[in-house]
Formats: sequence, C-alpha cells, structure tokens
Amino acid sequence: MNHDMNNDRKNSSEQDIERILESVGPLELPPEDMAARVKANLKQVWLEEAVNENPSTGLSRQWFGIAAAVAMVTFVVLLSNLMESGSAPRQVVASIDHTGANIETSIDGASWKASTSQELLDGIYLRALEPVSMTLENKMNARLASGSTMVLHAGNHIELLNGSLYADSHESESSDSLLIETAFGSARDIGTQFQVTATEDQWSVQVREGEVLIADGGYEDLLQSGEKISIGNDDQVTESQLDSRDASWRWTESVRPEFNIEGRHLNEYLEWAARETGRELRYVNDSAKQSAKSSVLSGTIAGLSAADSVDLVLSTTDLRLLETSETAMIVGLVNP
Amino acid sequence: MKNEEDLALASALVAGDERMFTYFFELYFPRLFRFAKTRMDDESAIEDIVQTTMMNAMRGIKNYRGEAAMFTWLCQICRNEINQYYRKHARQVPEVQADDDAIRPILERLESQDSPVDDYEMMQIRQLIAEILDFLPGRYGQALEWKYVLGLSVTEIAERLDTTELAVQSMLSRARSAFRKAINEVSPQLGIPGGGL
Repeated sequence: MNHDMNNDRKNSSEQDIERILESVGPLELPPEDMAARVKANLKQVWLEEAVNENPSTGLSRQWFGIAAAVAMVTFVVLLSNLMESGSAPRQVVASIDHTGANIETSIDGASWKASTSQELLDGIYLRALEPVSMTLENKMNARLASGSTMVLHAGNHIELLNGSLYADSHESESSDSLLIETAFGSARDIGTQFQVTATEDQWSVQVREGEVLIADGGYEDLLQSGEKISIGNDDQVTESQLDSRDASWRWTESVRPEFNIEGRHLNEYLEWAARETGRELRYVNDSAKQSAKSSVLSGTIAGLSAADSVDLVLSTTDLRLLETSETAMIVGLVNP
Repeated sequence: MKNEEDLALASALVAGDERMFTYFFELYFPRLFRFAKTRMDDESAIEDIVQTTMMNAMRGIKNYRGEAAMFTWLCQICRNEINQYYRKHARQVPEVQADDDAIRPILERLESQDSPVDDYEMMQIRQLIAEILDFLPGRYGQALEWKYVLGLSVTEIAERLDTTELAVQSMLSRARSAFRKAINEVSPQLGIPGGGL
C-alpha cells in the first residue's frame, strides 16, 4: 500500500472521470486580447465604483482625535489582557451536537471537571464518558468514543490521546483537511468517513468511505475505502480489509448529529441515512429517483436511529424500502 | 446557507484588494465567456455581453449577500444581459444546446466503437462537460482540468495554486465527488439510468 503522493492510485471511478475529461479535451478559453481589454475596462469600474473610499479621509480632526484615543485605550486593554494570560484569546472552534453530553474538559490535561458547555475552545482537553458528537468549525463532524480523550488544537487539528475518534467530512464547507494526530503518527482526511484508534502500544486507521493520508515517521500511505492499517510501536504494520458495516463502526451510529428533515428533499435524507448506516443508496429506476428528488419532507426524526427512521419517513411518501442488504438500501415506488 | 468564501471575495473586492481582483477576473471571465458562448449565436456580441455582466456585477458587489454562489449570481446577470440583447435586436434567444434533450445519449456514446461520435455530437458533449466543470464550486473544475486533461502533477497544481500537495489531494478528492454528483444529476438527460459514475 506504499504510496507516492504525485501518483494517485486511481480507482475505477476516478478512471471514468479521467476518460470523460480526456475525451472532451481542454476547456475553451477566451482570446487573450479580449481578456486584456475586458480586464482593463473592468478594473476601471472596480476602482471607481466598487472599492470603498478610505473611511479615514472624511473624518474631521476632532473625530480623528477621539478615534485615536479609543484605539489607544483598546490597545492598552488588549495588551494588558495578553500579558495577564500570556497568550492570544482562545476561540470557539467546535460545538457539541447534543445538550447534556456526558463529557469532562480540562485546560491542562491534569485537572478535569464535568462540562455542560456545548462550545469548545481551541486547546481544550476533552474526555468522553459516553460517545459524543461534535461539529468542527468547517462543518466537519467528529465523534469521540466512550472512554476516549483528545485535545482540540484547532477546528481542523485534533490530537487523539487514547481511544477512538471517527470523522466525517461529507458536510464540510472548506477544502481544509482534518488532521488527527496520535503519539505514533497522524491521519489526514481527503474527503471521507474514517476512524482513528490509539492505544498504549499501537494506533490504527480504518476508512469507511473516501481516502485518508497517514504518516508515521517516514512511512506514508494513502488508505482507501474498506482498508485498515494498524502500526505498533515496534513499527509492525498490519493491513486488513473491513466493510462499511463492520461492527467497529457501530458505536458511531449512537451519537450521530441530528438530521433535521423539515423542508429537506427525500433524496438528501436517504443519502444521509445510507451514509450513516454504511450502505450504498440505490433506486430501482429513474422514476423512483426523480420522486425522491421532488419530495419535500416535514416533521422530525429526533430520537430515532438512522436505520429505524427510514421506514417511518418513507411511509409518508410514494417510496418504500424494497430491500436492505449488508451493502445497499434499495428504494422503489409503492406503485411503479 | 451562505457562501462564505464568495462573501470573503466580495469583501476583498470592496476593500480594494488588487490580488483578489485578479483572482476574481481569472476565475470568472473564462467561465462567463463559455456560459455566454453556449447561449448566443452572435459571436461578435459575446465580448460586450460578458464585459457588461462583469461591470454590472462589480457595481453591485457591495450588495452581494452570498445567498447564491458567486458564479450562479454572475450567470443570472449574464442571462439578463443576453435576454436584453436579443430583445433589443428583436430576435429569439437561441435554445441552449447544453440543456437540449438531443444530447442525452451522447455521453455513453463517447467511447462507443459501433457508431463513433461525430463532430457535432462531440461539440455538444464538450459544452455540457464544460458547463458542469464551470458550475462546480470554487476552483474544482480548474483542478480537474489541470489534473486529468493537462496531466499536471499534484506538485505542479500545488505550485499554481500556491498551496500544499495535501491541500491539492484534498481538493481533487472533493472535486471528483462534486463532478460525479453533477454527472449523476444530469445522467437521466444523458441516457444513463440510475447514475453515471
């Protein structure tokens, strides 16, 4: 599974994309002289009509004096605060998805206390007494298994001290990837659902969907869906395969973030339910797919597991779950 | 949901950031050119239409609220300009070939050995794929073109975008997902039942 970063391992889906794009060739570009003319004209409009005038140019001397005084006081207060705390102000970089989560937090990893706050500041230590789900600042979802401990260094940087951490970047709004570090090595998501586990003598990474780049000393590898790698502190590497319904994923289903179905299209909900249960969503035909795209949901599935909610939600629509296998959810119309 | 990156770009333009002006122009001018070209049969008017679109957008950039993606917003302005142009010249706006039902079977025929795709069909499929790439978020379309059409390495793309190889790997993965999703969205038009890729 060794990997050269410049030579992506291409799966069949990636090859399909490559073949289509190769077939159609480069996109047409506007002529260079046209681009130069339009850019010059646009720049003039931009500078004259879009750019804000410097707000200080219209200030009277009196207002300038007041503003300067306020700025000086603010600067002194900020400087004083910084000197007292010895560091920059901390920021909220994640939030717990459920109220009443059973967690403990610490600012130094030594003294712990039960926490009821849903907001998590950068640099905080977090210990889960039961599975907990959180949304990071780029909308990526992370779930910490019961008994696990982590440090939230930033919205895209977590250090897993022990236990298991699951990450899902499906809803991420940023191209920033999530870095999960352990004492042995690190894993970085490349658009995926994956889990990192750290114990005293080894760490492992398993990928449910997408790709994860791992690094352990000089060792680098790109893991793909269904792959798991464990690396011991004796540098022993063990590779194995596991499917998206493997029992090791199951704990994550108990702490999923809420999916609000109100106003959402049925196909969005079904895609979410399929992802949450580690299955592929299939429609028996295009009519079923189009029906799912045009159906708008209302109500709530609060308190239900993703798997349990499917039949309930579909019962209010023209679609039914025709078959649920280990790998797929197959949906079709009630009256084809 | 707000389009935060596009809002940040709009703010930078209002603040007078010249680097972001160049970024805005280089990102959207070629896309708008292709958008207008597939919708107009008068090539001599394309430059004026695209220029007027970008100027009007720039004049209204302070009012951009991020409700729609920046390119979607620009395309709406461009559509209005095209409609005005055809009204002024008392002519019908031509049908958009990229949305035409006639192209449905073309994608799966691209690699058909039995009946090779002719030049006209190839032109239509090019327009459709270009449209999909142009409507992908951020610079996803550009990244896919660089990687799979121009054959640039991850390192070369990282240099062009002034970012890290890891960020490019991540962007390409997300771009492939977005492209697959878009292809699957249009797959019924393309005669690929149940999804394309």
